[in-house]
Amino acid sequence: MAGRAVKKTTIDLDIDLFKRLKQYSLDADRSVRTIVSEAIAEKLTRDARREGPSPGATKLIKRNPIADAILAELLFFFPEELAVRLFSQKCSEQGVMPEALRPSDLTPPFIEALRKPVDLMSPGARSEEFSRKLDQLSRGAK
Amino acid sequence: MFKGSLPGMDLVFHTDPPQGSVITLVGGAGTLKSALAYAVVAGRLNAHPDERAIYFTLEETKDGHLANLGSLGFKPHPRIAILDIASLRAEMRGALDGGLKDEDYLALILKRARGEDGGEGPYTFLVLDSLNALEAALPQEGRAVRRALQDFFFELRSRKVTTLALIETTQVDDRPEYFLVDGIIELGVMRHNNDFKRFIAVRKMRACRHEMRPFIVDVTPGGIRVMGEVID
Repeated sequence: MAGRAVKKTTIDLDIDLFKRLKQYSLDADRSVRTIVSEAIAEKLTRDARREGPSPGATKLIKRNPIADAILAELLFFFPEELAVRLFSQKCSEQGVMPEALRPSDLTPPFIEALRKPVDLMSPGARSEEFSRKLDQLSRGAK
Repeated sequence: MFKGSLPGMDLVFHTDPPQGSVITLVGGAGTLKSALAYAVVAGRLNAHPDERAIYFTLEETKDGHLANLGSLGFKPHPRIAILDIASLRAEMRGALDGGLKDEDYLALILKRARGEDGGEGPYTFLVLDSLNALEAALPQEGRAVRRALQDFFFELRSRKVTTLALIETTQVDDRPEYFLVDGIIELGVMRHNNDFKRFIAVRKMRACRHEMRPFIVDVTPGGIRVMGEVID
């Protein structure tokens, strides 16, 4: 979580569920915060896989300037719903959430994974330009 | 798009169908549907440097398609973009349940036909290889599929994109898509003088003067040629 923005929140849990969570935390030697964060991320990814992108998925992507810039590029090649689903899929494969994407997450393998479907739909110079733009984003350039 | 595209094609077509026509190339396996579509479009583009084409492969991968064309002596044409939906489907199947969804196909093809990504505007020609694969990918059945295709073709016509839709079938005489399209070109194989010959015959072509008789088609080292009409 280092370097990421965090938001403090308070939630009410069923007492038995909390006891199980606490015991699990002790057994696994991991903090409750880490376990809850991972569980929520897993739940959201699983639902996105089952249902495809919701309007909320697009909204979440648009909140993150890096993700929004990548989506804008993908929209040159794909209809919006497909672009959002494809982007969410590629993020999930890399173990990152689109809404929490940072320039440093855009590693060469991630850029290549995003470029591959673009190359299938627009081979040649345009897909090379796409990966150049992603490379610029990875270096923090706008 | 046919006149002047291949040697001998002017024997079959006296005028060209209007731009924006939707034409099916119908025939059984091994009747040169993909290669003929590619050759006709490439021949047309060679004579019209301002035009470009988009070729969608839904069954075969792009590499497979190019290998097939290469075996017939064709080189990739710089103004025919081959878009590999077969591989995109495989690419998306890996991680997400459902991957490429049924409803994505028509939207994706129409989006790409607009050619917005390069700022060059819409493509002049579109090849759909094949319509069978597209129909199989659609969520609907029967009449609903035909309605979806009717809207799809309407969209392509209104954008003046001339479309070649390939259909593999042995039942050439009656296909449910026929009432949706402007032209039907049959490709087949027939016994001829103790030999088998490929042929082309135009069954229907709106707003175009053409022959109805079958003509022999041959693959030569120089490419595909229309040799002359079949004589019994």
